[in-house]
Amino acid sequence: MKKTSEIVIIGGGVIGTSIAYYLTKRGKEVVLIEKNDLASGASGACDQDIILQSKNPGIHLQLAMKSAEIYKTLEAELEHPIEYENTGGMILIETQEELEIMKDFVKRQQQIGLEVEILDLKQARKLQPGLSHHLVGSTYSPQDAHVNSIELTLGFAKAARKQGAGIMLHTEVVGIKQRNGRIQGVKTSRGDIDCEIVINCAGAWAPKIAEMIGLTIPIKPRRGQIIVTEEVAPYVMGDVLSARYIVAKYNPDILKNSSDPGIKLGVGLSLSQTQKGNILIGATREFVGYNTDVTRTGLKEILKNATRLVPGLKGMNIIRMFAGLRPYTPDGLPIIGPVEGIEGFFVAAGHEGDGIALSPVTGKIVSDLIVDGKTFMDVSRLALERFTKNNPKA
Amino acid sequence: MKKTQVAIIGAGPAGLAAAIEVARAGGEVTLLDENHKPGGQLFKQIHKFFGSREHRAGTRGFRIGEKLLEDTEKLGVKVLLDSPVYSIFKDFVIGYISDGREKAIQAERIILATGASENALAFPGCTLPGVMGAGAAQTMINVHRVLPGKKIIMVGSGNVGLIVSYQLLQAGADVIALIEAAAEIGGYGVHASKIRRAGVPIYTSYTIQEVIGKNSVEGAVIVGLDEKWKPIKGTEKLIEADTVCIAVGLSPLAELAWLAGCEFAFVPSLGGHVPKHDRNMETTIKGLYAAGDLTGIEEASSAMEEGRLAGIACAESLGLYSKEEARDLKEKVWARLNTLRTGPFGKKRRDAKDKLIEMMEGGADIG
Amino acid sequence: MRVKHHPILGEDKRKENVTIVVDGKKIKAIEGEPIAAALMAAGIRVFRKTPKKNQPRGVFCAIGRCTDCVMTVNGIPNVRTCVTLVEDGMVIETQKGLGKWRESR
Repeated sequence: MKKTSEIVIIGGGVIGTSIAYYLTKRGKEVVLIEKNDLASGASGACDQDIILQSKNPGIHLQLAMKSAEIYKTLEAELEHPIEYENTGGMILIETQEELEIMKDFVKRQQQIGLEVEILDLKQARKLQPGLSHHLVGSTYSPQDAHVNSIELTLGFAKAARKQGAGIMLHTEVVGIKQRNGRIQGVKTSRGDIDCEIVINCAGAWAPKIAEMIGLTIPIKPRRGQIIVTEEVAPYVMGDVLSARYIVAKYNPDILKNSSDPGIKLGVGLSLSQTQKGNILIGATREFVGYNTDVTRTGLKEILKNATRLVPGLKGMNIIRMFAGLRPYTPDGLPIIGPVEGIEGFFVAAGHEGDGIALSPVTGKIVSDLIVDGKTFMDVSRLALERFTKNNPKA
Repeated sequence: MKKTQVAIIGAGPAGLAAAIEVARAGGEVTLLDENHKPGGQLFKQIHKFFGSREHRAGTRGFRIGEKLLEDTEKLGVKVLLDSPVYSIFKDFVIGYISDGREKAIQAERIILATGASENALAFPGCTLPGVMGAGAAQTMINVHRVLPGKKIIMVGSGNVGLIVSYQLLQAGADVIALIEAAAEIGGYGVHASKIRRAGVPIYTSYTIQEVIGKNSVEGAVIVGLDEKWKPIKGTEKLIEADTVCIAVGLSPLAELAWLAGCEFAFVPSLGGHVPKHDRNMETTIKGLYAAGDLTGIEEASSAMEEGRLAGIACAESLGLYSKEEARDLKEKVWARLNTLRTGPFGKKRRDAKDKLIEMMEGGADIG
Repeated sequence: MRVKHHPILGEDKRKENVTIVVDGKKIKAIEGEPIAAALMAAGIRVFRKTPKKNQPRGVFCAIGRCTDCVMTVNGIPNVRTCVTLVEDGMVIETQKGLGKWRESR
């Protein structure tokens, strides 16, 4: 194994591999260290959505739109089939109350330049014939897309390797060496590596890495359970979310006080069909520590929710179910950038359910920051320091 | 949620035998099976079983099945049929499907007896209709009374290949070739001689190179193998046939054991990945037992004995038997199991099983 | 072909007492037998065509594991015919690819 490297990336998920790809593209020397295998965390246990219209208008949506632009040519660039497809997507609206919230959400997204509109039920059913008749309507954006998150991670890793990145699998980081506020290297289960820069891309495990240098990162693992059906003929068009998902995502406190088991689990629809024909039905959003079990309640509540919105799913056979740990942050935004006070320590984690959508842009930003010291947009709002009390930006 | 003292998953020989033992000890049992009828693969076994008198040697498999069903009924075992179990959740909550609906039952103890499935073999044309598992053909002829074809090639000469070949003849088909890649017949001599007497051409050191046919099997090209198992050019033979049966072993159906979180060992001589278990058939999860082909591919007789062991041990853990009572009962079962596991075939399995059990006591992994 | 006489199992006394419709053709079957057995008795071997290469598939495992024998039954695709019993009047179709899924009910 290598004893020195300019940069060490911790985490072989979609964020770590993307950064490894963009850094090596800029000629940097990189070693990526992964405790298990590539995409063995949330990147391999998620849905396939690259959905723009679920993002809060503002920096979040800006990031997603930049990422979407990169995605258009990414498959060719990586020379790896990532099953990218620009499918469009919709958010299902069940009540007048939700409609009002979504109208406002859509208007603000339009102002940032997203192509998105509100459809009535008739228009929505024309695009998505399986929808229940009780719906009020939906939003629709032609800009949403799909990607196979595992292939994407493998694609980034393969391309990074080709550009000279070292990738060490089944290797655990056990310590980080620093002297006088400067990164010196990492200690791993397979020996030490001296380096100048460490990038913490450990997703839900990022706080554990940060702890090694006495740093607190407010990321919490949030479990998402997802169900997989048998392969069926094309049935679901694009990405389908429910407005309730948006509520679950941005208002976890509202959910906490409910007695409905589905709401308590943070169940919100996320539906899409893979190229092979399997339909992915999600998802829960639960705080249960690092537990990745699937649960019977999760299964039942996800299905109850999904079949209410798309009744035709009822007869399909379920072949699998899995759970991944999304790295949740209190404000719903990822943490990206250098950490003040420890020279050479970067964080790129906390994307929660947006890691797949935001992986290209995250890779680009981090590589820009390291190589040029700046990037194409102001990302100071994404710094870890926004959570520190004395920071005026917080 | 429904509750039961002991849930047994799989109503084949191991599951039925386990159910009988638990019920005989006074335990309350729910037996779940995905099929319309209990019995697992016993009812397609119309040949006489081997073993000693205690194993009801000389009795045909399906008769043993009938007796097991009679006993389970007499002892009041509750049998849920058409009920595929899809997972085992925390606290032994068993999720299953019945009447198209999702249901659950919670158990104090679980015995897994999920059996095995047939291995496939890859060669050009292996997906054509008419290429099927030997066990599948056996089910068709002996249970459903339908012939899968008229001119049949059997691939593999282990006991399954030999027995099913003979039963295909009994059902009125023509077995035109028995192919074996090894230099010698794999199964028992007594089965092999029946096949020979019936005049079935046996090709040892041969393998199937290709199956040909447009919409279904029309024939197969077989090819001779040298001592390094490499095809010998010029030895190809085209045999006309409408069915190719594959008898190249079985693999444990271990999905539920994986889902329940059991620790596994990879033991090729037992069929692949099997859950680790001790002499009580208890897995690495306390209160979860496993028996039969799931814990290593053998035959129905040993599956029943393992089921009995699991049943007795389970009853003991519930206080239905004293330690001494259970020990005496288990010793008898072990004695019978050890007789079954003799001879060149049995010895290998016995050794593998011994190692598997040793591993529970912290031994080394078997490669 | 049915095995009417058998040296060990004896005479099969069951009657073909139900009718199923396979790709528009009426076929006699025995109540309680799986669809796959009824089709095999009628000499039907191709149960479906694969999605990508349109290759034929039939029965492989006969115990509901391999899903090679799936067909569209009463309008529902991917039904395992080796473990689904025939019913009088059942409509069975050779499944083309992944079949057609019904729209919202």
